[in-house]
Amino acid sequence: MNTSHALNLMKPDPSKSAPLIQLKNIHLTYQSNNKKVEALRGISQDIYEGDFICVLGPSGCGKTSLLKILAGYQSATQGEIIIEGHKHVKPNAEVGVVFQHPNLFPWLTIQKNVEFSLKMARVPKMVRRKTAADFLEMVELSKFANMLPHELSGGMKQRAAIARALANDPKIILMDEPFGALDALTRESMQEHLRKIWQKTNKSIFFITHDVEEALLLSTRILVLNANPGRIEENIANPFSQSLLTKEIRDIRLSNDFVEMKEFLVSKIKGGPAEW
Amino acid sequence: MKADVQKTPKLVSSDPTPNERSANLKIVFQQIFTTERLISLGSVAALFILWTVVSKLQVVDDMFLPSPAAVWAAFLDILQNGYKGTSLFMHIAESMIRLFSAFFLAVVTAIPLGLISGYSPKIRAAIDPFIEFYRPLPPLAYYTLLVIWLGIENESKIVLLYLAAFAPLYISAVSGVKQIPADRIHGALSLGASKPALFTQVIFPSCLPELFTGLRTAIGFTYTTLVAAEMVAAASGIGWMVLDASKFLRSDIIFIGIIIMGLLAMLLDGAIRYLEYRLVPWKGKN
Ligand SMILES: Nc1ncnc2c1ncn2[C@@H]1O[C@H](COP(=O)(O)OP(=O)(O)O)[C@@H](O)[C@H]1O
Ligand SMILES: [Mg+2]
Repeated sequence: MNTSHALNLMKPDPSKSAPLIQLKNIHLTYQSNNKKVEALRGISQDIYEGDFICVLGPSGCGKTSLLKILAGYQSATQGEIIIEGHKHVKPNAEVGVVFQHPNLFPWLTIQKNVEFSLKMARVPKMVRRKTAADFLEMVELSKFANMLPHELSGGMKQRAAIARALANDPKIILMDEPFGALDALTRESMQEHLRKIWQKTNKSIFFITHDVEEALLLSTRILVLNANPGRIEENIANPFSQSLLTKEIRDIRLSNDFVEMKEFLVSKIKGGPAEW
Repeated sequence: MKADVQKTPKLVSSDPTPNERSANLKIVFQQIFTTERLISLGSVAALFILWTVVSKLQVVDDMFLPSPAAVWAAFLDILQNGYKGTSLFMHIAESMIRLFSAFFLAVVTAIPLGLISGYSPKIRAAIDPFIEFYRPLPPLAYYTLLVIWLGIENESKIVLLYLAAFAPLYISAVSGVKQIPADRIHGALSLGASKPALFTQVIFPSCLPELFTGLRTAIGFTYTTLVAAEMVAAASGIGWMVLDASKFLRSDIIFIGIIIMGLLAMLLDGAIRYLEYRLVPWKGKN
């Protein structure tokens, strides 16, 4: 593989200073009925403000486990998560999460779902309403504000979940294969939505996927994880992150560079496409 | 042609034409009287006719099977003159006061306790043995004890009904909490929910579908227990009325008493189902 190309991409971006979030040498071993499963080994990564990190890997390689540790749902066997200098051990409003399934509160309207975190933070009602309305507009759901989640389609629900995470204004948003359950067309439009939202808000995003193309079309940086135990195989700045902002997605996708990069990533994922 | 001219303003105007009005009425009618409902009405009517015919033919003695007319007369009689010095309304009210005070106490204690138990295995471990022990007991078995302790008045009955309602409510709350997906709790915490907020704004509403199932079970069981308790020891109430009538072989009163009991039970269940429909519109849709 064109190693010089790849090596070049691995250089850290010098324009950034202190990392927002640090994953420091994360190890995780699950213990279930006397059987030990080493899920993660030695994961380290600095995340800067505005980074869009895609974690790419086959199913079972530990992506969800890593997200759970980052969110504070699960503690690492070894290593730690540092957010702006302090340890992150419990879930809180600093780290937002969008799950694979929209996970909205079924008894709250879309508007109330988006307002939830603001209510928890005791934001006055009027401000709450305005903020939620703004984010609903961003994800193009204003018309559906007063509906209950079960009245919306899967893609719309997932957009509402993204709006809900954004309204909370966390330092980073973690997403676990958020578009995995959607059909191909909806998935593409969701990627487009998310790209725009990210540009507009400049939020740091930690995005899990097993779709190579999705990773290339969204991220600024791609971490390839491989299984048994889950470890970082490849850590690459996405060469297309700049052109994504300016060029037509279709053109990028059809370019030789893109196809080549895709092949390179696929070859790095152990087992290849058949397994995932 | 004329119909064509009328069509345009029809879309705008809010006043329905006579034709539309009858069409609307027809739709409403069809919604109320579905085929299934008509079948239900039919089978009730058939039983009623059978009852009338059998009593007209004098196949069985009036004392065993009073005629519909006699039952209706008995109803009018107790409606006007009451039964044994107490009006029919008061008999029903007495029963309902017992039922609702017990039920209310059970709702406000069993549900919070069940929610906490569902959340904390340690608290559950402390409470579960008692629930598991007394739940399968027939309430009348410990009613005797309650009567000795609290007397024959309302206190013993309310405690009895409270215990009858408590177990199903508590169990439904526990199972409701256990069924909440971990991601929902995680998601709420990541949105900044504190422990108390988690209980009141996430765990409680998550359990509502389960709680309504529990409410229906509980009200059914409490109602059965109420009638039984009134038959064992009471001087008023709809259950007592039926038992008392049996001592005087007044089968017409027994009949009307049972019919009233049945209708009341259906009304109670219907009320809970209506509440559920209003409060848990997402049930079964997630
Ligand atoms: N709660 C658990 N207990 C035991 N093993 C687990 C648990 N969760 C995940 N694992 C194991 O850890 C590995 C990584 O799982 P996961 O993080 O879900 O992978 P991915 O999200 O990449 O598909 C798998 O082998 C899985 O079987
Ligand atoms: Mg996963």
